[in-house]
Amino acid sequence: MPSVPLRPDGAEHSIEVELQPSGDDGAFAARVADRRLDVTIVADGPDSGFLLCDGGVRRFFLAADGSIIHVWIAGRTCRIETLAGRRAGRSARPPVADSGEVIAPMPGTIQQVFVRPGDRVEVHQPLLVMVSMKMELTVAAGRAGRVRTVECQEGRLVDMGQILVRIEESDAS
Amino acid sequence: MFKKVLIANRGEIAVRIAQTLREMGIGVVAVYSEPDRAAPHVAAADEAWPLEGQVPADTYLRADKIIAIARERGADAIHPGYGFLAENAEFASACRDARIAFIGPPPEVIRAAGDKINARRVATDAGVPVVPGWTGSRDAGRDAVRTEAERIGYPLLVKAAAGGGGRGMRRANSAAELNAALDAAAREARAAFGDDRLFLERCIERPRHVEIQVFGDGHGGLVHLFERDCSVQRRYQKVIEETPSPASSPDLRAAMADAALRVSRALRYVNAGTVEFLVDEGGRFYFLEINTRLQVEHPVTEMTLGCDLVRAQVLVAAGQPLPFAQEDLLPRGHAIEFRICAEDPAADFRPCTGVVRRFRPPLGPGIRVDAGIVEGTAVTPHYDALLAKVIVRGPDRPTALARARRALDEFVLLGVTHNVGFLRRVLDHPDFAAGRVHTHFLADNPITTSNGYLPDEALVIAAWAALRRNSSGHRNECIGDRAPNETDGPWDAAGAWRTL
Repeated sequence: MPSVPLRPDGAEHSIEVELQPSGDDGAFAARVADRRLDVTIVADGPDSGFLLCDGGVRRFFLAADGSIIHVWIAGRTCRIETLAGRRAGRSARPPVADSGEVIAPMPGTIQQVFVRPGDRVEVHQPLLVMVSMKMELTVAAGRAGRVRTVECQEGRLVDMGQILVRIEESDAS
Repeated sequence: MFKKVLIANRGEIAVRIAQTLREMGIGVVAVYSEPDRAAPHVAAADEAWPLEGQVPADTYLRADKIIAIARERGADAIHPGYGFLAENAEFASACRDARIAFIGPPPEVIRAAGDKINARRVATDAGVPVVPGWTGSRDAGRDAVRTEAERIGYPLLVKAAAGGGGRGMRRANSAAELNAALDAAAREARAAFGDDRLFLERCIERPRHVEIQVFGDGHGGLVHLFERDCSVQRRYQKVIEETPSPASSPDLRAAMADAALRVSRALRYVNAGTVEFLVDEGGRFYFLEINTRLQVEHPVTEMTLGCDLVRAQVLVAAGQPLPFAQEDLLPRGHAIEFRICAEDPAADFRPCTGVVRRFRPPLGPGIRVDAGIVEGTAVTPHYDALLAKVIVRGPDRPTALARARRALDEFVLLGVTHNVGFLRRVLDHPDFAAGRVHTHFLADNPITTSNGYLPDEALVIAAWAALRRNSSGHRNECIGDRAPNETDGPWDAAGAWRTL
């Protein structure tokens, strides 16, 4: 039975969704967690169409971005992560902060860097300020330790997910 | 009348200005930064010329480059839109020196209104109530400031004379916080505006933000175009605006309009302007500031009055009298605007970037969408997060709210994370529905930002998309890249597109 684990944006747990073709006209027997439903999907383009279910007709649009699938259906815009199709290094979730790698939470320009290699930092201590779309954001240390490297420069653009600062255990130096 | 106008802006406002110019038979010149090479405002123009560079400081803020292009291309006038150079008196002055009409107030008016200490004095002299405060003197010592602060009473706001949009502004809840607030506000104002003059104002708790649109023509014509209520804000940024204000009685509206006209007359106001007021819980109003530009939220006024403010701006800048008299301006119905921004409400409204993969704005009776995006537009971190505005109008507020629900439900935007779902939930909040909001409404009433319960249908479609992609052997990075004639068995589903 073809199935795929999906994680709705913000949810902690994934949901297993099964989809079994039940004809050649776009009909499927679907199971979402413990709920069963019969649907027909009529595509009118590579990324859009209609979902027919229980007498209702729902317009849908979708756009895939790596492992994330953006879906608009019946007035709702949803961001859903497909866990099966995920490739190494393309996780949509940023690495956890306490790995010591401080990453850019958004694309933008580095406005000010407060730390230098060798500095001791406390958890939540501001490391730098970045600006994106006229909004300032202070990026803080996810853990205490010593700054190993600063991998960004004031005035430079950074991508979302780019490593900005590496922090190591104080006693490791 | 002008033959050619250069629009010194980008995004939705540049597109909107181009629409009016085209209707008036005036040639449209666009300018663009490198990331905006293929932006909608470029496509909306008759000719478009590059401003080399990426960031605003190298492009849309470069008065010299923009004026040089206007001269080379023979543009008679420049429309600055909002933001960027719109309230820059030096730019307006440089346009005049280059014999190019600036579509906005004269530089003297921009300068007089832009200095908030001066604007406060003008309002006071015109007999308009201002927020109790102190504009001080440059060399006042900290002891004198402290004494004045005690007289005004806490909590109070320390504001920058050159400030705007919450920058250079700090709140002091008590005398103990005053020094830190003064230092922080001065530092921010110096960095942002190169001017660290400050003043103090009492903090009005839970105020409404109500503004009056004014318009002068320099021939003695001066009218008001009623109010806009912009109380739904987040960090001093407006989110939803409407007219009429749900809180305005006919008496309050008339008094505020009269006050706005008195301030405008004292400033010898020409072209479009907005006089902003705070209205406290007791229904008293206080002058706040004057914005000498076309506002983001101007469409709600256009929707209820059936006028075109950009057209009026162009006519007045060309030396003509106002196209409407006060008695012609009769608002009808209720209009509401929603700002669609590239931001993630679930992550503290962090700005988001990406490529617009799908954009289907709502259609139908009473709906207007001003957009600066099309499918394929790259949303970059260089500029404001405002992507589009949805404006609805109905015969009354409940009808307008119902129309707004439909418009937001039908709004399709995929590829960039946005705030449409959040705005839709604000609409459902009982206080918003009842019109009982103030500028701290969003801060005091956390609107759920998560998607919450996801419909099964969305998960089925996501599974269908994922399985279809897997069955196509990872040939493509994105589903959208698939050629329409690739077939993958049942995952293609039924549909006409295979034969297209």
